[in-house]
Amino acid sequence: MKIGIIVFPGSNCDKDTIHVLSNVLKIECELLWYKKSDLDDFDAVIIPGGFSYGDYLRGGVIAAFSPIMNEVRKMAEKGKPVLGICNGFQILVEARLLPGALMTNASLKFVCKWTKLKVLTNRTNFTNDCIENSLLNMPIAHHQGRFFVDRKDLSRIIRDDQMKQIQMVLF
Amino acid sequence: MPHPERSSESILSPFGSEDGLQIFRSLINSLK
Repeated sequence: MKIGIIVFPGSNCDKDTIHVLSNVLKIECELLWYKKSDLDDFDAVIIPGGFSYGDYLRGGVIAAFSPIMNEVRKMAEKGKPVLGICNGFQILVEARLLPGALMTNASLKFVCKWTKLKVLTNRTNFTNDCIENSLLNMPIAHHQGRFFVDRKDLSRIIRDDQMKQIQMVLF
Repeated sequence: MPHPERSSESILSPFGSEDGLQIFRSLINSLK
């Protein structure tokens, strides 16, 4: 089992992620510079948080057009897990691997604090180790975190159970 | 947006929790 962690110019949570996988969970993993063109050796990829390309234009939008995202798309089409954390999630949305859009926070301010996430289902690749309905302590940090999706995509998300993975509870 | 990598060790958490590990363990479980 080998997990790749994709690094774009401006990524800043890549080292934290590889530390957790390598030193805490003892999993083989590798940092992948965004110019790498072949991901066949990897069973899953993580796109970490940060400020890829300085969030220029919009969070994640420039990274979404990197050639490596074509390889990420191929992995997803093969059913291999792709986890986007924070800016990584924004990149996946901008690359249209996930539906919707992320808009600027309603407060117009950067939010950085600890909050709780409620696990609504543990029947997913990203929550199967969690207890259903439990609350997870986790820090959040974003300026563009207001998720918007149109009715058509929302219906599909609800039908496919994607929205039930984790619900953020802001206390 | 959530950062599981920054909440995977109790020393980093004001609550002494390691909840972020559950997300990574889930990903690894899905590959077994």
